[in-house]
Amino acid sequence: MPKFEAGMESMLDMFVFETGDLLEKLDDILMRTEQEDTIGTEDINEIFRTMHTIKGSAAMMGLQNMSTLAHAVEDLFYIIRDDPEVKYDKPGLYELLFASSDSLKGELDNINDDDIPLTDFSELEGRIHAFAAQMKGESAPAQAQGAQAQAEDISHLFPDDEDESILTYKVTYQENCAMPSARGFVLLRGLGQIAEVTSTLPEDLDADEADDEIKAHGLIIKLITDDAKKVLEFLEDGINVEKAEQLHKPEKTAAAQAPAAAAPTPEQAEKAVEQAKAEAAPAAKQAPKKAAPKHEQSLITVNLEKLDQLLDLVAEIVITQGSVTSSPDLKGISANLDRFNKSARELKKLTDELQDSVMSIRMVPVSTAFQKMNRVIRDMNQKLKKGVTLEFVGEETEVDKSIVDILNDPLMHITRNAVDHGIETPEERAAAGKTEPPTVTLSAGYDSGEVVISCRDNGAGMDRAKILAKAKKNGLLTKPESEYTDKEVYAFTIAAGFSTNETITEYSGRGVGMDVVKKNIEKVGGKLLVDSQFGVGSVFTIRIPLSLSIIDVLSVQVGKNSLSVPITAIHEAFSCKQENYIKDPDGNEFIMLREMCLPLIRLNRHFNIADAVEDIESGIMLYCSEGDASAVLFADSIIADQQIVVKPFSPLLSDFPLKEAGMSGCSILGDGTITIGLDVKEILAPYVKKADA
Amino acid sequence: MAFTEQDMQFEETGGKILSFFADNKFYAFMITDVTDIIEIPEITFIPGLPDYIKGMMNHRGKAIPVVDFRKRMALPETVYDDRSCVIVVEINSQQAGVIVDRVSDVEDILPDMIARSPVEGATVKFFISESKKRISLLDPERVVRDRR
Repeated sequence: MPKFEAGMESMLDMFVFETGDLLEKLDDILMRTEQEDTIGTEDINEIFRTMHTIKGSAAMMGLQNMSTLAHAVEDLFYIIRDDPEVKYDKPGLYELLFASSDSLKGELDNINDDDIPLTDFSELEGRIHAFAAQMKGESAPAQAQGAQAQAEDISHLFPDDEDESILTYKVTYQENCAMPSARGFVLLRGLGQIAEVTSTLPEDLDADEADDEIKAHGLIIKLITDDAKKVLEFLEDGINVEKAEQLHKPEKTAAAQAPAAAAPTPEQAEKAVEQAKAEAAPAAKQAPKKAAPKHEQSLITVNLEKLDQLLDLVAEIVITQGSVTSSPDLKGISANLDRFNKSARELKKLTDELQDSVMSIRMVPVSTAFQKMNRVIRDMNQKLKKGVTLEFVGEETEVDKSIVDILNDPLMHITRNAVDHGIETPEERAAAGKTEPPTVTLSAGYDSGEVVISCRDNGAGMDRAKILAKAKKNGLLTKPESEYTDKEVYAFTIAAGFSTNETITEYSGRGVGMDVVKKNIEKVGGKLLVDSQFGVGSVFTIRIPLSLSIIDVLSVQVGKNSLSVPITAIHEAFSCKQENYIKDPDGNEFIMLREMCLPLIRLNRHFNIADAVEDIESGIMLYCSEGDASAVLFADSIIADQQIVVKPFSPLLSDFPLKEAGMSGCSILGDGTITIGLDVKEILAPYVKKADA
Repeated sequence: MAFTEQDMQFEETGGKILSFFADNKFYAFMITDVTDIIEIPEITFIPGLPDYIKGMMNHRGKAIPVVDFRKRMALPETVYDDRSCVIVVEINSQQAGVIVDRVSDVEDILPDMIARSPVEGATVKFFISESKKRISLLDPERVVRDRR
């Protein structure tokens, strides 16, 4: 059985997203205000509103536990908002707030897993209520709502002119139901499928007093249906519904009263109008005041899938446009094409702009991922008492949304490690004569088509000898100790089954984290690098390729094949003279380019493509480099400098080592032919300079 | 590939198959596995693939692999003529083309004509006896994917 209200599945994504977002913002406010003496009115209002919204939407989803917890927190702030002078224990309050925020987040994470039951927050709620009671001073007794059932006169529910076919139902909610109006709303939505609802009482379920009214008198629903039994069953099955019953029109007495009320005397009517006017005036004045503090953001939320579709479409347009404007049919036309060419250029400019703006939609600043680390550092400072400050550099760097999602986990692990393993305790720092405050710096930037995110700490750094000893103990060494370079030694720290921290702490020390982080990053084509200086600090660097599905390539002919090399990897294309060609006695081939001796990779031989140019002077050379490796690629001729959308090879070909051979995928060009996208990094892999620092 | 529900149902109730020739023998795919029959298009050679995969073709804007059926079955090679064609099959919603000598017919198969292959997960799932001819009903995934 799902945990949330049936029929609300479609809303689930939205709920999780919105609530997650609200909690994220709440954390921001809490982090910001924790250090200050008092919380500003604006922030109090914001927290109050946030909790109110969460309470409402959780109730709508039927998540009673989340709703009541949010309600408890809302109550706290209700008191603070009403009486800014109220005295309270601030650290205690924040402890409760963070705990609540975490509980709600945890519940959101588990919401889709039916195996995990709804968490019982009553213990936390109890603490919050106790705290609230303390704030109010013991004098205020618990609010007892005198919601006692009275023998109600229900005759007013039945106007005389009502159609016979209209049935009236009364739904009473359990007393602990937090937001009966929201529950009622959901009920009505579902009811719409089996009956036609004509009216309800209270009429406006969104109104502020609707909750109280429903609590006091129940929810009255008038509807037309063919199947009264089914309606009643449905109503009884609603979440938190205590009782659902059909009401029948009372006889005579009520009927007699009704017309009197329905037809007021002219005098009464006049009075009523005046009264209404008088009421309306102050209401009009109040309205703008109420609206003022609400900052409407001009943001909308869009499903990422839709954006992907849009991006795909734009990519197709860019390519189709290319095939129209450079159609081979045009070559046969001798007429003047000036106007056509002008329009074609105009079109290209527009599609380029379109492409850029679609790309930019998906771009978000990395600060969203960085901000979350504030919280990690705060919690760890609380526990470990290291007093670490977190600094950001280049947090405005924009990256694709999918990259930010990928970054969240690795950043968390790395930041935790930096604080736990990297930064020393205050005593150790003092002993080492370090005066600067312990700092972890997260920085972001671009470098040759990649996003570079690094996490630097000014802690103890890594001890080469210690790492080697540990690696030896764990059986990770594959060659004599003396042959290991520093880089290789540090790389052990992110290898599987390695942890130098002798004791396992809550945050790190199990040695599982880092190699998982490394694997996850590598899965998306990224890299994780470590560098360190003993006594000075360590740096972990994540490099992830910018996920841009449209790439600029230089397409070259090799035999009958068209191969496309990403422009970012190419330094220059040139023709080579025989005198710059070297073949050593071992059969290795090199090209002398200016002062450099570069390995020559013949694409035809690398890929076993037949009927390709073999003569050095008649082909074309591409000087490429990727990371530490450089080489010259040899092809028959250049076809075009173009934009392509590289799609990975069909999963049916996953048994074959295409990626390892240096092919990233293929792309269909405007004329319907297929070009193979090359992965220069793989092709150059054998020529990576042996790292020795 | 284990026996799917679809296979079970075919065995019990029969169904339609698309039969084709290669080297004078009859083979077939279940009609539900087939999405298109097209002329042999231009095929782009992709390095690093086994012999029997001729390369990729552009099928409705998607690059899909093309299998040379004779090579896959280790049958003698032939020159394809204008009756040769590509049967496009769908495997877990991924398409692939299979070049065959000639498409024969769509045939209704009754349960009593079907004999299940004793080998679980073989390339030929069922042997079908129809009047005098024998048709080998193939598992498209084994045809495209399998390395020999």
